Amino acid sequence: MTWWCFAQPGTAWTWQWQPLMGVWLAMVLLIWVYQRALSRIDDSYESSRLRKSRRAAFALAIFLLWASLDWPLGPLGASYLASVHMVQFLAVGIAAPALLLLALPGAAYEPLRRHPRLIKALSDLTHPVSAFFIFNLVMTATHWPGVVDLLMPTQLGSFVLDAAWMLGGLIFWWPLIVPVPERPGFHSLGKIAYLALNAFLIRPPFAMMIFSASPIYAIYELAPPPARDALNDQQLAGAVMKIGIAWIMFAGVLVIFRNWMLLESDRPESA
Amino acid sequence: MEVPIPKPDLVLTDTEGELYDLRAETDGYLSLVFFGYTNCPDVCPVHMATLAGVFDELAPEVRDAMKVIFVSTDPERDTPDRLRQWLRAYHPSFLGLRGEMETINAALAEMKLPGVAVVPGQHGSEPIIGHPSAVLVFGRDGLARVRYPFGVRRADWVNDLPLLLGENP
Repeated sequence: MTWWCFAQPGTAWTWQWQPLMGVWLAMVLLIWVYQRALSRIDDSYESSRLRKSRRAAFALAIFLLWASLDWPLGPLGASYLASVHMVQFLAVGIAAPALLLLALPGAAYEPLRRHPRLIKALSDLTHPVSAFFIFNLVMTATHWPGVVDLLMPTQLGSFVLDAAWMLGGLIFWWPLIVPVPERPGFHSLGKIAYLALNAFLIRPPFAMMIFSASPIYAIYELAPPPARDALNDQQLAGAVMKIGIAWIMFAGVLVIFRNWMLLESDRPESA
Repeated sequence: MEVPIPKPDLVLTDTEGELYDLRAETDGYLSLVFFGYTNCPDVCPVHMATLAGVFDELAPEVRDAMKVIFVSTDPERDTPDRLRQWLRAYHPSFLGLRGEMETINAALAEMKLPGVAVVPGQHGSEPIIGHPSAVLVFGRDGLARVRYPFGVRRADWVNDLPLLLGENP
């Protein structure tokens, strides 16, 4: 039984459905944890519209995770097309973590305050500077050719890559979305700068994918059809990475800017 | 390879229906000879896509001194038209050859490569053709000293082929 999708070099692609039990179990576990978290807090202080938005964010996160990790995108991204692998990264490592954090009301994070050591650790780990470095380190390491070719051909290795993406994404979005620990110094302008910097940053994997004369990943280079031209696919993957990240960051900037404007307009004018 | 293998005395038909004498037509060229079939789901398309990428990356003078020969191991389904179109989708310079299976198996044996095996398809699916997965590279002197197995990467080909040309002037 296959638990998690992994690269199987030289194996012909088939449209026959393959169950990936680990992915389904992970989705069930996430839904259970979410329901349990909601059942333990009173979120009635939030408007009905906001509560619905949070549930929609959670549903979208689950859909993105399930669609990108399960068949057919899972096997396509693991064994055949670097461009699909990059779509998976955008879903698992960038979009889904933001949606999962947004899916919980602020009250769900309040119990964290009862654990000073945890707050201290979170404070360090999710400080914008450390979050920036951790996210970019994870992103660079998990797209490094040697790492990808080493980890992707095993279920455990492939799971580790996906888990690292998710963890890196959660750390990245935490200081922007989660109210605990409080960061009064991290103003909206700082948040916009944080996202803009990540949108425009040229990371080594992107440069390798776009500018390398030869395919950099053995898995995708030696993949049978539907893979065709590994170099074109790799360049497309680089473009998906760059443009995808930029658009998601840009969407984040718009939301922060809108909230900032609303906050400013609600603030009473000083005499 | 410890003992170089001479280019087989093989006369087949190209995709235009003309006779093609492998020794005569590739004399003086670095020749990459591969046996496969166009319905192959894995090895053949990977080799062809890799070699097409290699050709794009090589200097013109190196490329012009080389020939890629694809010998069909499934001549029934690989009609001249299909073979031509399939190869051109990878690279316009790749040449396709067809012939009787007996002739092809004899050439494979001459080159110390395993013969062709037809595995009937299950539940009405197309048959699978077992064929050697290696590419034999014959130098300009007509001797093959290197056999490239499946899995050789483009960068390695790009590195090796000019060297092989230089070694066998």
